[in-house]
Amino acid sequence: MSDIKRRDFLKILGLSGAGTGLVGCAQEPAQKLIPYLVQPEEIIPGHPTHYASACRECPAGCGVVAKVREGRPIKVEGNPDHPVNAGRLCARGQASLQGLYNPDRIQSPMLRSEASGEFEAISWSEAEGMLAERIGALRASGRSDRVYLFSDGAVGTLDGLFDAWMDAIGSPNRVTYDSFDLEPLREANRLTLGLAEIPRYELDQADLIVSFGAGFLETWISPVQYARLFSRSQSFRDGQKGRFIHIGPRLSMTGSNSDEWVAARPEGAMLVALAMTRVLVAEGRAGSRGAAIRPLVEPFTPERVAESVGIAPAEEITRLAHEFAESPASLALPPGTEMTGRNATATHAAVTLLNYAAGNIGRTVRFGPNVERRRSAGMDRLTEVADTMRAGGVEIALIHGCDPVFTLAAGLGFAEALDQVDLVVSFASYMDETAARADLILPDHTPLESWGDHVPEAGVRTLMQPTINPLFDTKHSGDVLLAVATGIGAGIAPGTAWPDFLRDAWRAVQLEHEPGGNFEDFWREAVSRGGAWRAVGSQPVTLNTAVAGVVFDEPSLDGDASTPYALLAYPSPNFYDGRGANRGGKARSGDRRHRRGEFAAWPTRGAGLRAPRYPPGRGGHPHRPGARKLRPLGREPWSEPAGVAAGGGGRGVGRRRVADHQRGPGGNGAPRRAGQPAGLPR
Amino acid sequence: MGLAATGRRVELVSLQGSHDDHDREIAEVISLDVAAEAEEHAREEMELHPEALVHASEDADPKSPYRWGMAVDLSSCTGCSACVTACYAENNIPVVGEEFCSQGREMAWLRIGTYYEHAIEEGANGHGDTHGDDPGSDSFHVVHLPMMCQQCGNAPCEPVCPVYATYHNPEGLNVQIYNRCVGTRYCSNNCPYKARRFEWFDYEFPFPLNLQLNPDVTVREKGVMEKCTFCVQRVAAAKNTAAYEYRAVVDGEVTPACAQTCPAEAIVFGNLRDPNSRVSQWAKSGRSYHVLGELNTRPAITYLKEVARGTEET
Repeated sequence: MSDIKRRDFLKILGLSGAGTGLVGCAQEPAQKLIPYLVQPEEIIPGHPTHYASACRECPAGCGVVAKVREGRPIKVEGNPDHPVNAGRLCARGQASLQGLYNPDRIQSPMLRSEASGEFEAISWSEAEGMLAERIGALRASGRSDRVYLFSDGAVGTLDGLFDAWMDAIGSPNRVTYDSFDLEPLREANRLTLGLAEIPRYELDQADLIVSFGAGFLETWISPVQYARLFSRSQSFRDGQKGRFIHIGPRLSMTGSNSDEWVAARPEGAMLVALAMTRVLVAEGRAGSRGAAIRPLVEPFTPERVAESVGIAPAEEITRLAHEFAESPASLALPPGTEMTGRNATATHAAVTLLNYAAGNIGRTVRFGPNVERRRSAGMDRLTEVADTMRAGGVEIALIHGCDPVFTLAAGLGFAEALDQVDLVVSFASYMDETAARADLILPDHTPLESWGDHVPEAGVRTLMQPTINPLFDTKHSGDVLLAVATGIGAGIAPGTAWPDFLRDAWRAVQLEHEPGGNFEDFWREAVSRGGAWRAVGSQPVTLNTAVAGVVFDEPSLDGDASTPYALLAYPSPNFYDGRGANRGGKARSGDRRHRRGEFAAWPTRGAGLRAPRYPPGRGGHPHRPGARKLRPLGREPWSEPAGVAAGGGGRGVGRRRVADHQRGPGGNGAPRRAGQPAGLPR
Repeated sequence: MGLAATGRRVELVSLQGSHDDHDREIAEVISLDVAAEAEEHAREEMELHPEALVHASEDADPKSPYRWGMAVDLSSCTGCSACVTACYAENNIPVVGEEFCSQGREMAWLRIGTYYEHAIEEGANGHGDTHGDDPGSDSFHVVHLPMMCQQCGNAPCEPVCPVYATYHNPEGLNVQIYNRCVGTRYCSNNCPYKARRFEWFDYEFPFPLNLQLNPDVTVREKGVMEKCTFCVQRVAAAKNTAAYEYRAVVDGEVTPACAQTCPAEAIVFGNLRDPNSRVSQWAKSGRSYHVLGELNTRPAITYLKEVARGTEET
């Protein structure tokens, strides 16, 4: 504004009341301000308008309301009507606007130039034409199975379009990849209860919560919902308060809210859960449920387990089991994404058995309103895909909504395998590690610019509407796929644009939610309310008879057992799997327990490396004489957990590289103005 | 897994001087028994004097119908920092980055302190006395303490300003007038809560980040002091709406960004001059205390003590 003279300033002042809205999309400071000639219907200068949408910073899918002033969203807040988050949001959700307004966004489609190897901007018609031509050629020669589509596990209309699109071009190779998948839990529930589903955990009903490590207040499944339910039962109300016991090697942010921390070793959660179950069964507290699981848990006596997990004396485990059984409503939570690797499924199964033995299934663990997520490809499938790519069996890889180069274990060699693919197409909005290796980038709208929908759990369908005109020359991936399908004559709804495709898909949603009504009314209501939801009843669950065949092996960690350290890779509350690293507002919030991780994200030290801030001493618990919190430091050698081994896949946390605009001062893009000193004396 | 020296040095930036409150009245934990008993007393008191107001309600113009206040329930707060990020988004707060934070140029109106409390007030062993504070003990309770401007009724920052840039408004808010401020930083020096932050630089919001700026909140320039305003723009908006409808602002009509987003519903905001407002009810709770209350700053923010529930044998 410095080049505006005083007279100009006064002129502008006279007009500014009505005119500020037009500044919206201009890069240059406005030189002339003109009041609206034809005022957009929904805009009153100075008054906010609110639009309902969904938060897509993580798979939890909270409903949001964007506060829009003069055509630009300035704040997102939780949608009070939404059943998932009831008006609340986490730090990642609050920072989602910095995804929309990120200076590092990819501003147009880009093609890697053959000559220079650098990206060059191209037009959408060129980009789509090129993609259609390549896919058309493969399809004509009957090799369309050489097209692979990678996407995250979000369920919704776009997911349906992916399926239809892959069918239309004739490729079976759709790979769902979620960096923080829930497959161990799903598999454990299938083994024990015969249901490969993620249930709803009724934390608000639970008087005693025993967690085996899940970061349910940070990243696990639906943190905002869980935080609300958790505080309903665990904060002090009317003279009552629930009790929360955290069992695990690391005092995470979630764990820091516990009334008691039992510092078991990283691989020990399974043994503790099995030993607790055994106590319940052996003492007849599991009732008729005990008989079927007795042979499974018989070998795991508290005495034997206590020693190998670093909890002593063994009565501690018995006490935990008694507390669990005597609580009017108990709930055990699995380790979730805090534990991946080869022990994960068995540990989740052990926790499910504990819940089963205590009669919690159907009470505090409710199947029916299940979490909706596509099953993520396991390590086996990803290894197979990487091998196929390496062998030149993949000609086109389309990558949407995930960053496998960054989040997959380096040992898999995914990045190098991707280089063998003829045409890598990324739909990323920012230059992430995968996009940087792509040949063609077709930048998607960010969620707040998009039409779309998302199904976080059964019975809840959130609708997303654009809250701003697209800032850059981006295009919704649904539109791109529809255009390509039309281009190759594969005919999915030819001539339909993505918003119409979505709207048509919602006719089926109406049948599910409000059959018989007028669709126009239903649609309008859904758009303004932010979606449609209905209550989903419980599903009866019985023990899977095949559970008798499950064998719990002694858990182990991989690597050199002679050193006293173990590496724990855990999800970051700030950055999730790294995707949030370019949102500056979060950079200074989040995981207060690991303050070094506040700014950029480098792998913080795992619990095995934690210095004993509170050295184990005589250590009577002040409000619990006789009981002790014990920590597992230094007694037994630890070894490296099976991070990269089969089953889970090692997960890095946080970006290696923070966003360009975020280097140095200015986490949210706030460089010093030219001429300022670089740093003042301290 | 083994460890090996890499020779690389990384400065670890910490924004909290100490995780111990050194027995000052900062982070408070009580046991369930003590909490239940205190709550019972407070309930009886409230039944006897339902219209009683908390002391902090006096610190405003006698004619004003409002004295804005806040209450934070530490037993609900999980330390997730959603409030911190919401505050950044609402109030156009620049993120200064790691380098400047390491130099003490931190910028945040709201922060969450983490305290490891060894001392827990115990019911069975005499009421309210603190014990178990054994430095050798490895047991502790973690308290997350959201800390922002306490909007003191007797604010230490106000009398030291040579240019009257900070003053007490009729509704009890401690208000900062940016264009009066000359940046002496005396106020920050005098604030026992370290809630005031100085704009050391002009921060640019490169396009399109500038589009996110809230037009209801001034974008501050280099050289001014700033701090939590209780989202005064939201207070003003609610008063406007109420004035159009010829009524007073009702309880729950004003919600600052931090309270709005809190997933654990740990923050309540409202009028302390209304004895039935939620914030008044919370402030009259048996668990209520003021951080560093012995300094007689008369804060408008009441904290509700964290409650630790031990095992049955306690």
